[in-house]
Amino acid sequence: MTVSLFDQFESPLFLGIPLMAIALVLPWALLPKPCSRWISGRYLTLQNWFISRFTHQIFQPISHPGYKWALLFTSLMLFLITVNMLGLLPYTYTPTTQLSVNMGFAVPLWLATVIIGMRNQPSLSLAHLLPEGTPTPLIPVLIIIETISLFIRPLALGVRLTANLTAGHLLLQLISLAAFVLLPIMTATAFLTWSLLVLLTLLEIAVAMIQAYVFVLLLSLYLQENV
Amino acid sequence: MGGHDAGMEHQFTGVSRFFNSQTYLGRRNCVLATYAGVAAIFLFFKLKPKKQPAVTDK
Repeated sequence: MTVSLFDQFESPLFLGIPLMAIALVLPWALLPKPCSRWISGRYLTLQNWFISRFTHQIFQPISHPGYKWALLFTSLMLFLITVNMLGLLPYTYTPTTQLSVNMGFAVPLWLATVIIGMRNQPSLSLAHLLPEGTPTPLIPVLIIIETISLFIRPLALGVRLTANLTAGHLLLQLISLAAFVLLPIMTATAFLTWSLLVLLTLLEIAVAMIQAYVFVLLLSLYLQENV
Repeated sequence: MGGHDAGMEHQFTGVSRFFNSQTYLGRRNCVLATYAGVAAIFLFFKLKPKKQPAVTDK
């Protein structure tokens, strides 16, 4: 019996019904909603503190017209961090390991920042394609390089998140499989492998949170250039 | 438009007043000129008539 390591990344189906919708809705179901009481509970207070700190951190360098993006970025951050952390549970499915999901977030949001820049301040948006102080012989080359890097941004955003989570999940499965197989054969080696698995799990928890933050941070930087 | 390069325009004379890498206007014009140049090169090779091999009597 061969074990396919990539079965965990297939979109789950149950009696022909795609479970992707449930996986995407799960953060909304799990996160607490604002209550009508004057003082909220611990969970809601913690969430409110996190949202407040995150919004302040992300929007500090952005000018006032960009503040209308606060709800979008904060909800995106909460969604990504929740989905990534839930995916670390055993036998769960992580939607952000699918390139289609991540590109579905990256491309429209990146394109929105570009269109806003071209619409509100077209000269400034075009001027950003040439770094200030470039030597004259390098100007055409650098403009072409900056244009290519502009169009690669959404691809890099989506692929970064996909690759980080996919690689992490694959490593976790490989090392856990190795520890399980080695247990009756070489117990000491299996114990070392298990220790490595624990460390890798801690790393993957950090990566799950960091990658969600990096995704939203880069989008905020793209917005900062154009707003 | 005010900015951190406001007031630098007087340093440049002639063509460099409109094409430089210091002011917003200069950078914008350099970008537009580069795009126009790339488009011109592309159109030149696209519309260039292809040489047809000469037909010889056997």
